[in-house]
Amino acid sequence: MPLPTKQQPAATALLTIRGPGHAWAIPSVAVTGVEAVGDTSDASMLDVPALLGDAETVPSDASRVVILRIQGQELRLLAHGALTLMETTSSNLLPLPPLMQGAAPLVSHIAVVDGRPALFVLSPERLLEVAHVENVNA
Amino acid sequence: MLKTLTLKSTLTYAVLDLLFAPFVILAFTLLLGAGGNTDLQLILVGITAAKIAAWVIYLHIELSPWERFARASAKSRTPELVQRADRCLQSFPLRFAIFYSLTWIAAYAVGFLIVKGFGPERIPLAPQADNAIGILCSAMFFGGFAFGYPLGSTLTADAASECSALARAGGYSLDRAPSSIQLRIAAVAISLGLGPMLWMVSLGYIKQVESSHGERVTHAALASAELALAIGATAPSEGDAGLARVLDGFAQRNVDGLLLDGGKPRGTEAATHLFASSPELSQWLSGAVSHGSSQGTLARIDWPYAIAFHRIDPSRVAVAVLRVPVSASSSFVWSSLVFTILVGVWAPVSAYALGRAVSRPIAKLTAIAKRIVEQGDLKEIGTVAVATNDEIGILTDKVNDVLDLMRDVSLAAHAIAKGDLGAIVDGTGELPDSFRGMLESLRGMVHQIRETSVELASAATEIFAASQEQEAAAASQSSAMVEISRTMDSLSESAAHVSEAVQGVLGNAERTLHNTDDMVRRIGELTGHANRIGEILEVIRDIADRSDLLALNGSLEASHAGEGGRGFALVASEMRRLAERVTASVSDVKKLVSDIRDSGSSTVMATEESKKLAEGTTDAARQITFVTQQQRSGTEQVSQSIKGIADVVSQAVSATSQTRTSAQGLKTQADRLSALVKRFELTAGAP
Repeated sequence: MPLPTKQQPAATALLTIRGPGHAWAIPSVAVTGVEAVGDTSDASMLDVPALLGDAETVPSDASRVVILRIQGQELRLLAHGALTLMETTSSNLLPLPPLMQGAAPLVSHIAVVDGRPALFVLSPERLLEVAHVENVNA
Repeated sequence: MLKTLTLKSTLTYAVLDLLFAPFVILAFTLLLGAGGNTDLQLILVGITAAKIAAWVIYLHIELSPWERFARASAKSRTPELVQRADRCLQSFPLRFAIFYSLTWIAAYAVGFLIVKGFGPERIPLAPQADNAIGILCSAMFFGGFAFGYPLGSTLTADAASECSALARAGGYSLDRAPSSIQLRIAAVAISLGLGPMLWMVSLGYIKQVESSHGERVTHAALASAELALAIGATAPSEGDAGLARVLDGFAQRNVDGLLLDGGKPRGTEAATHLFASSPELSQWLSGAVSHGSSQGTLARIDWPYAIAFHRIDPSRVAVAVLRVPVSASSSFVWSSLVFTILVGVWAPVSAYALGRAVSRPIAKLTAIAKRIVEQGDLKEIGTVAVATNDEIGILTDKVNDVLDLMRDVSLAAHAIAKGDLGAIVDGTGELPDSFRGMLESLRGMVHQIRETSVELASAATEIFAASQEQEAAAASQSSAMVEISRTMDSLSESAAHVSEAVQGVLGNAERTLHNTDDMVRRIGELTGHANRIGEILEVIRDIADRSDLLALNGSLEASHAGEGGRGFALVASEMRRLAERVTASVSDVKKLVSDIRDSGSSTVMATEESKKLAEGTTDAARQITFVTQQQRSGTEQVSQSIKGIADVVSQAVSATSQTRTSAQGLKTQADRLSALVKRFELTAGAP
């Protein structure tokens, strides 16, 4: 789902996840729900912190499963840390510079909080692609 | 060798009895005119056996105290036993000799009664045979005593000596009654004189009677012959008047005449009556006449008459009855009586003279011995005169030698008493040799005493000085001991206080131990509660987590709803904050609970340490109590010992003081001894 690109700042909601070694967000509009790790069956999940390079963090009781629905497909993301629903505007979402788009294909924007870039906003579509690739590899 | 005195005495007397008995039996039967009577001899043998049995029994009774003594072991020979044995031995010779002699009298008196019981037909006894038997029994009494008494003395002499030796060794007396050797000699001499004398008198008396009897028979035969001649010479014309005249003449000679003329007796009334009253005589006379005997006699010793007949012619026989009883001659009786009296008087006089010859020198020697023993006066005794060269004389001579030796020894002892150890004693034998040996030893001892007294004086001086130092040291030691004793008492009191305090500590430690256990239990309970709280907090945290998740999903839904879900988003946001706060609070409480648990664990550990400490304290307190009690007991014992030592030291002070005084006295005595010993002169054999 593409973010609004109009100059008019529009309100948007992000589900932020702040872990011990990482902080990322995902547009809440793609999120259908959040579950506890124990509530989730053996369905495959994407370990986002690992994808972001934080291999240290391991799942715990505080870990959550964020359920996305993208293009009619459900995708489960493993999230470690505090989950917060944050209201922001599009002006606080900075597009990733082209130089970095190749290095970080999952990140669509950098969210600015309190005037400072603080969060990577992940692209649900890219995550879905990665999930497809992983499923193929698996 | 005979084992007992009783057996020895019995056999000795029995041998003598059996030796004499045949002669006495023979003499007795001959005396009674029954020499060929074997019945009487057998009876007398039996009586002799009974007599022996009687004195054997008496002898056993008399000597039984001695036999009890002889059978007793050396340990059980008490003075009473020895005295009883000695009394029996002392009295035995006289008592047994009398009893033994009486058995002779009794035996032959019984024998005589038995003979009399036989009757005159079997054994006719001479008139006055009783007197003869009486004299014979007296002779046997004296004869029996004459050898029974000295024999008894001889038999018991060794045993009596043994009693005497035991009494002297035991230091007690035997309570012997005084006796006289002179009296004993007199008794034996009288018995020896009278026994044979009376025996001969009795035999002589009987022989006189027998002679008288024979003479009477002869006279009767002669009278019958004379009567036959006288009757034959009478003229037939004289008839009965002539016969009466002849018979009257014979009657004056104590002869009763009788004429048997053709078997018809005619004569004196006495003769006629004799034959008429005695069928035995008539029968004897008829028989003799009818057998044609020309003469014959008939007499019995116990009859007062003797009968004789003489044939005058074939038809006539003259019978004479001589009425004369048998009797000893008066001269024999008188001479025997006088001689017996003479012997009875002479024997004691002679015995007295003999006894005096023996006893006088012995009495003199006894008096000398008594003076020596009781007065010890040797100078005044002089020499005892020697009258004879017999055993008494030799004894007296040897007593004089002993007196000389004792005087020499006495003079030497006097010299020694005055300090002259150079005295010389001559002579040989045990006493002078021992005395010389004693003198030699005395010289050596005096010499040694001299040297010792000097050493003793020196030693006494040293002891005096040493005892003075020891006394001072002991006094100081005594004071120190008293001080130590006080210190020990104080220590004992302190130990008592410590013991009481430790008892308090022990009580507190035991209470602490109990409280610690209680605390550990309660902390355990607290930990349990904390764990339970943790579980509850986990539930709360889970609920909060769920609420947070729910609120998050609510917020997402609200955000999806747009403006319409804003209110709900606020609620969900508030709910999330609440859940976060709850979670934070739970986290805080969990931390607190964890702290409580940690504190509990620390407290438990600390309490365990405390418990160990309390147990250690309890054990230590107990050990301290035990040690304190031991210390107190030990201290008390030490205190007692110290007090004892103090007493001993105090006594030592006193003893040392006495030792010092004694040493002072010893020095004085040593000086005095040295001065005394200097009096002795060691000229003869000083080493």
